[in-house]
Amino acid sequence: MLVKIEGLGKKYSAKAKYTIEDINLEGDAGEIIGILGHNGAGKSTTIKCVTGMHPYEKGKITICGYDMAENPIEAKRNFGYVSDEFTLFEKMTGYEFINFMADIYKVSAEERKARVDEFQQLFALGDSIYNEISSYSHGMKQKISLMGALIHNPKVFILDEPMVGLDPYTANQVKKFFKQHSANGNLVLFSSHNLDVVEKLCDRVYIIDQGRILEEINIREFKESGRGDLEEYFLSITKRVAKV
Amino acid sequence: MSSFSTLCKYEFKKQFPFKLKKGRVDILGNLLSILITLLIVAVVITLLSAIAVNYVAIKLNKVRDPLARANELLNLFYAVIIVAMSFMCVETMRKTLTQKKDREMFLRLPVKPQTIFLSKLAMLMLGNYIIGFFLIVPVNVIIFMALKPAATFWLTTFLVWVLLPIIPFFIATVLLVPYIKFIDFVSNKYIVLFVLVSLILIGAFILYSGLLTVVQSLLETGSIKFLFNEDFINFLQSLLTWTYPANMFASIALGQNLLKAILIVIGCVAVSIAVIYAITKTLFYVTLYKNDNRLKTGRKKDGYKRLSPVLSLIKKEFISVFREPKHMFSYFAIATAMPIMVYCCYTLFESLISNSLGLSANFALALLIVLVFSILTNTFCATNISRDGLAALKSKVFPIKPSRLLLSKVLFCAIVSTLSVIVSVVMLVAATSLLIFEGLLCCVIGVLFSFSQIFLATRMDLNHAKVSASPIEVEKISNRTVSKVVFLGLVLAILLGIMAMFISIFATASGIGFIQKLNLKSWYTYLFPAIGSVLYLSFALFYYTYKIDKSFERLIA
Repeated sequence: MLVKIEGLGKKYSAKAKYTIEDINLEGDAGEIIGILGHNGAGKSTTIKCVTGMHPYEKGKITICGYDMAENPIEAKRNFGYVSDEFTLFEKMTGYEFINFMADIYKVSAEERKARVDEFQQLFALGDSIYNEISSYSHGMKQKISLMGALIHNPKVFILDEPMVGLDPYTANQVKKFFKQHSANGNLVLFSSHNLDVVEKLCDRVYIIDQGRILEEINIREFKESGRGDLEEYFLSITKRVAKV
Repeated sequence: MSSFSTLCKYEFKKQFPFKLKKGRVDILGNLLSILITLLIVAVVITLLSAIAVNYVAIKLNKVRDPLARANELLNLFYAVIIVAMSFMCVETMRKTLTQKKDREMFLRLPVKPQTIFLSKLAMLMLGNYIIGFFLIVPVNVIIFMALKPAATFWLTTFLVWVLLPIIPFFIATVLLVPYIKFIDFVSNKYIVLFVLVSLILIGAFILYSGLLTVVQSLLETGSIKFLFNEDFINFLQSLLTWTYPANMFASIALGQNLLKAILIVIGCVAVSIAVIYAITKTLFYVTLYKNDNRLKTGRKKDGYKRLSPVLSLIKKEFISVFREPKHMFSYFAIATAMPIMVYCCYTLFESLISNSLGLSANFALALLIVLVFSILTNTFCATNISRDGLAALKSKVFPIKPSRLLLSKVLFCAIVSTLSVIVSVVMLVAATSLLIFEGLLCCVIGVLFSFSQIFLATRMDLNHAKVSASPIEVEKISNRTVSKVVFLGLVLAILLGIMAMFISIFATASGIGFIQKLNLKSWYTYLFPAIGSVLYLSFALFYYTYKIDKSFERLIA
């Protein structure tokens, strides 16, 4: 297993109740896994615990065999992460940012050149890569975030709401890249509330609501079972269909 | 309420946030700010009053003419006020009229863009009147005290206050478009900006130290003889005949050639209003449709150089500070200007101590000044974590131990600070009578003290950082940290510097009986601050490293 989460629980203060509790999730090489939920369901909190951005009170997170609590540095070396907010160092140029990320992950000069060439073909940033990130559009910032997160060719690629604000062409490129990255023996794990994206891209989906995993769905099996539309099913199990 | 008055109210609240905000009040910070402000105001008023009293009493060709001298003084003060207010107004205007978020928000509302624009201009004008009041009234009070004119002086003062603020507003309106173009031009020419900002800061400090020299002259001789000789006054008079309309405002205030002066000023104001009206239309289009998303182009590069993670993090810190004008000013420009500031202060106080007390305490004085200015420079470190905002949180994802990640920030500040202290001390050794050995020791103690300040500031910021806060909140939180760090640093710097000075003075003044009994050796002057700085560094280092990894892990949005 490239990612294994067992009984994860997180609360924001000692007296507060758990924001997420008893989260169990697994992901292996070659898979694309989605975490699906409404706004405030606990998707981002789960992702932030997995990436080490948030400390957690209960459970165990393992990435590529490394325990996040015991061996965080090795665990972090094995994934790349793109957040829902552009927390880029905006005063850097795109080129400087990619080099910075490559230095952090100790990527050799040859490797980073080859990877940037590959990404340039995929995301077509062109000479804009030499401009300051602060002057980039939303889509360009997302592209440079992706390039920075992937510069070390991570085994696990984690994203929080990756499709928000992307133009159709870039969104299509990103989806293609997800498929290619998982086909190369890596794992893509992302959170979303966009049912279409999840249904088209993912092999498996974890539905999360009010901080708990409600169900794990294998998309192929779901489609074959004739249980109907994923959207209707999602709304029914999160008990919001009545309100709609 | 009409949309215009609603918008005016919004602008007013934004420009003058008088309302007390909820949350913790920074008592120490507020006290320090009030004390420093009061001190500056007291120094300025005392100095200007002394100048005014001396100046109006001057005899030219053996004739005393207080009214003419008062006119010259007021003329000069008003000219300075007009220039200063014009600078302030053009910058406030640029900020207010070109705020992208504000503009975008308002343009979506069912309000005419012209109404938004006019509400902003109206509040800028009101701001000019408020600033004008606080500049014109103290100046006129000073003249009143020196000249004791008739009560009608206050009536003419009111007239000056009503008319004068329109002039800087006019100048700012004329300058705004070229100023916006200039700011856009230099906004990504960071080296040009850095040189420019540093030169302005150094120039301002040299001017300030010039004023302090006047104070020194006053303290030592009781008058400002060198400034008020006949040649200087003749030069001033020839200069002041050209300072339109400041000279007219001075005439109005003192009731000289009143009709002529009022007519000229009203003419100037009428022309100003007409030009403001004509230019406003251009400003409206320039500011409303300003393109903020211009690409900031960098240099095209071919190769990919590999750096160690810590070096790369230091480089990142440098870029983040150097390319953000606000940060560049509060750190790099101040660090660059520090040697000049240290030199000016040292020469001033060294002659003051030796002339008034007849004593020499070169090392202790140099040390005190270097320590105080290094505190000033390193206050920036109190935002080492919080200024990154959410990016600080993102850096938790990096496969680097938190202590190493934070070390890069400390190292970056340490490099800047060390260079600044070294250059300051080299300048003192080269240009003053400070001995090389003393300079070396001063340098070592200065560097140790700076490191302590950096460690404390960084850790305090880590303990209180709120990375998802708005820039205003970040500023508020970091202000509290700055207050604590500055307070602690100042207490210690004064303790080390003053104690060293005390020992130095009394060790050399061996002729006095009870001093001999104390048996103070001159090398205590060096030993006391050296041990003090090592102890301070040990404390700061312990405070900084204590559970630092856990503290960083606890950092959340």
